[in-house]
Amino acid sequence: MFQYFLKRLVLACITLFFITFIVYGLVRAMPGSPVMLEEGFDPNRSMSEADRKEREKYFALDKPWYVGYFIWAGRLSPVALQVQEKAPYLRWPIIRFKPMDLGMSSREKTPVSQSIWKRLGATMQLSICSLLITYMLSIPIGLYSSVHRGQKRERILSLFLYGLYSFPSFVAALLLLLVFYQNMPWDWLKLEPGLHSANYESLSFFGKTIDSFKHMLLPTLCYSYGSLAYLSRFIKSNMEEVVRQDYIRTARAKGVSPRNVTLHHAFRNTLIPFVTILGMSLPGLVGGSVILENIFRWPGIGQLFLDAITWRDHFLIMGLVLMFSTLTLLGQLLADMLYSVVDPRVIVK
Amino acid sequence: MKRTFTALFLLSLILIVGCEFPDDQPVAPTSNEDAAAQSEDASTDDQTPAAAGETKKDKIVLGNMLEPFTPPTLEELNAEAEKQGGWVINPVKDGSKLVYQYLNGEPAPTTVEEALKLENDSPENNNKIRHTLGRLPENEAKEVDYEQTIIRQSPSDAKSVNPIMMSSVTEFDLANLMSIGIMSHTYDTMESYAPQDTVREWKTMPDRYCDMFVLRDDVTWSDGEPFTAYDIEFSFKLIMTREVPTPAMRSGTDQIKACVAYDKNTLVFFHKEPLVTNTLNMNFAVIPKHIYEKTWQLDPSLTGKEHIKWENDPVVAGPYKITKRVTNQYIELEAREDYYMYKGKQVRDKPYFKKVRIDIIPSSEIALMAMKRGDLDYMQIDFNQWDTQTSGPEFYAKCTKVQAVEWTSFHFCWNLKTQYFEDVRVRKAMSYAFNYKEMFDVILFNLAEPSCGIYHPLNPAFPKDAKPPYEQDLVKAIQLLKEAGWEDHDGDGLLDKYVTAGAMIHNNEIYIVKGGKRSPLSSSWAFWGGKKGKEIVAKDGTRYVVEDGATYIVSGEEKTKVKEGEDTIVLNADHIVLTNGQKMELPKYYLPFEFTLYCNNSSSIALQICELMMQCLKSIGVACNVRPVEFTTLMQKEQCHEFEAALGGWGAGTDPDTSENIWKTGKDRNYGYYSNAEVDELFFKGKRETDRAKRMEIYGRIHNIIYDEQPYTFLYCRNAFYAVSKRIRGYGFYPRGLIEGNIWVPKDNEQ
Repeated sequence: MFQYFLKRLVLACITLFFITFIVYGLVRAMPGSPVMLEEGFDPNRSMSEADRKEREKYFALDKPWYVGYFIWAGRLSPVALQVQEKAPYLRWPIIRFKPMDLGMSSREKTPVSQSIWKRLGATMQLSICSLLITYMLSIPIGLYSSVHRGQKRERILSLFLYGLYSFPSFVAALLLLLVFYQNMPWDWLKLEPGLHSANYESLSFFGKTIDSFKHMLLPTLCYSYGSLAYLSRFIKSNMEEVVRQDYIRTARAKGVSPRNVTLHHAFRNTLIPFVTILGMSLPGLVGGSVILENIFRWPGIGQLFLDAITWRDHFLIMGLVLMFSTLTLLGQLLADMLYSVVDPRVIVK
Repeated sequence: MKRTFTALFLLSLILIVGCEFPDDQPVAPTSNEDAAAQSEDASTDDQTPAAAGETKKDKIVLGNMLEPFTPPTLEELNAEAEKQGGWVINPVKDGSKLVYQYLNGEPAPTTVEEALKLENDSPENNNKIRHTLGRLPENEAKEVDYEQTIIRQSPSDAKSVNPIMMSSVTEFDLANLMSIGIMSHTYDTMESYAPQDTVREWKTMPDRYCDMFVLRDDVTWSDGEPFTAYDIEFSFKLIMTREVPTPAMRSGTDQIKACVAYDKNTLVFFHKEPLVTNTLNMNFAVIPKHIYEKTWQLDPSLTGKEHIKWENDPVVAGPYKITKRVTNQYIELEAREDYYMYKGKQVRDKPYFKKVRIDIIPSSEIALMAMKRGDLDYMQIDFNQWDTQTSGPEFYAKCTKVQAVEWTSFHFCWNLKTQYFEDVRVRKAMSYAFNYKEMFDVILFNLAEPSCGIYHPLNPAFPKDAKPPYEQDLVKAIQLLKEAGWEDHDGDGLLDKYVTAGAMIHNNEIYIVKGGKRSPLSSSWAFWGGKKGKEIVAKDGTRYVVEDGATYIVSGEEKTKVKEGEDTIVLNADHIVLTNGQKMELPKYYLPFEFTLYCNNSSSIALQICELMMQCLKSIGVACNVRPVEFTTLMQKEQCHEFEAALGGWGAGTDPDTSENIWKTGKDRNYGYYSNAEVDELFFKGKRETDRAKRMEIYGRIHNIIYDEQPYTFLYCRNAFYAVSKRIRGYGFYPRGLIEGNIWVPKDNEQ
């Protein structure tokens, strides 16, 4: 078991190396550079040649991209090999530990780790809420529709869910804001975009909770409804496959109650693909959404990523890619581990 | 298997670990821990003789980009001025009085009540709204409600509230609210003056090599310390310190030789050259010396841990100070009593608002919703929002809108170093081919005015004898193209011309230029290993030589080196000399008139205009391929001159000299390689002409010369469009946009 995960970990490290290497190559191949954007486009203000060189050196733009990658990775690495320059008789490099450095964001003007950290909270607040809601609602909906399959009420529910699934969330967001914000006649029911109201600090604990709830309601709704529809359909179709199995017939035949059959015999067996999806949703937790964040004034990772790309913020793009790819790989690892929990048949050799 | 994995693991570890490049460590440490580590290193280094040569870790010297300068004493300066006939006294003016004259100079066209009822659907109504509601109060004490909060919108958060780090619109907005300066400019003529709020006296040496300012005693920082000449001197030196990342702030400031504080009130600027434009250079951001002198060396980036405290609670000298900052949500500022009160006496104008809140709303659609809801006081809108989303009772219930002339103009930029656009007749033909009427009527909703050249018609530099804007004339366009040799020789419906290819040197390699594209000499398969050139000989005898990894231009006896990284394009090349001494003639061929026109993909208006141009050119046998690209890509293409034509726009500076960077030969923003010796000479003269009228004549001549040569096809000027809440007044406009500092809310406002 341990060996298996170690093997997976090594593979993950190598994958991570290739992902970051390729992405760095792509980032460097984009036209434009962080230095050009730092300089800006004001006709009266331009950087001096020396300044430009200095900044290009910082972003390793004066070197080929693959060298630039290793400079970036070198800064990131917690250990470094250093050739002793001061003592020429000691030619062997020594290993020295140093703080991991993701570089400075050229756009945010703060260290990359700090820029990401600042945005992570807002994104997770939404994504965790929406994940919980989605999973808590999609399971009963999925079970309900599989139990009542073919009936009129299930057809109506399915139609509704398909409708939701195909309705673009940014359109929904704008429509909801039009109704609940711009044209809402009662102030106490007004749901404005943003993290909090401007008077948040002066509110009581209860007031703050209400305020946070009111601000999160619409974005969480827009975030979740699409995946809610998808997941419940997913559970339903899996259930339908499982209930056709022999062991379900056996269970029914031996007199197990229908509720027990659905929950213990059938549902447990649909959990395996479900876990894969859960593992895959881990990077989604921190990924954020560019458009929804933009509409709801939600200072999350999605906007940060878009900004980083638009502003050719090399180090910030790399920092975010590193985070996403690490989490994707971790998610897969986690899903593998969960398999052995939900499915006793999985034995790792 | 196990072994393979171990090997792979070790390999990946080595790849990651073994690649530290000690020389490439960042210049600015990212946190004070790093800085501390660095200074610790420095102290141990001092004890090691071997490390004596390591200057990198030495203490950073303030103002290390400045050349050494020993300032004369004050007595010597005064004696020098006396010798030259005495100091020239410059105007110190009352800024608020000037704004009052500018906004309230003419009587209001209608009453406030009437103006609030109007819908802005005609120029008359716009005029009525703008000049009735955009006025200052006649009696401040009686009319202004000083207890109000104004809510503004900004699309992105300020990355730093330190004024010397500012680069975005939000940051400039904040700096305007929180800072004071020693230079300002009038809104009508854009002339510089020293504001009475900070300066008591401003005088210039007759030879214009230095400016002396005497500051007022009663300006204080928000922590109670006095604002002195030492703060300005310190800020100047800090901006001119290599390790402090303020490159944007340095342009202009680097034209100042030194800035010296003789005592807490007396400040003298020494200039490198006696230019009229020196007044623009002296207007840089000022930060408190007593705060930053202790910490800047620990963290020269000015944004690290050492300075985070000042990011949330900066010490300022201007009318407002930050009281609360929620990242990416809003910034709240409050009026400072110690700005306008000094020792119990009012010494400056009281700010019109108690609080200012800047809401960060990235989406303009959502901002407009907030506007209609009454949660915002004003915002800038675009053509489309003006035309379709801001009409009807839903909008006019709480808001109104107003537009004003802004000196922002748009154009097609032609790359003159291509075989299409090197000929002025071709460029003129392009300008004649475009359908301006359709652009104004259909694409721009009739909300824009024609652009008549590099200066706006209302700019004092606009010449009296300026030519009228171009109008579509396809016959003339075809005629001009024919004169330039462009005809349809092969009958394929596309114009072509029999030309000799050009040549260029890029990174010390010689390329052949066909049309606007280049191909390497070595592309021919016939020569294994390819051809390498060492010299281009132009038809006029000038030689362009590649020697020892550098490019030289040899003309007669003269030999000048080309700046590193700069391309040398020779369109009138006669032949190329190869490295083996062989002479290579340049190919002659029929060049079809087909070029690419770049534009920004995020602007639908830009795309529509380019497509219109494509249609127009198609009718005269020119193929124009429109390529919308991301803004950054467009900028990259333009800065590297790797384009044939592009749609672009410029905003105007306060002084006509600010367009030097766009039109002078070899300047940074001269994307299309425009070059005219007379224009270069005139810009040189313009900087040195002290008589304002004569100076404007010089720029007028530049305007006319450039208009005659059409390196741009000038398209339109965009107005400033704003949605404003009905509760606010005093929104004046000037050629660079909205004057935000004088907005006020009347007492007993019903809206």
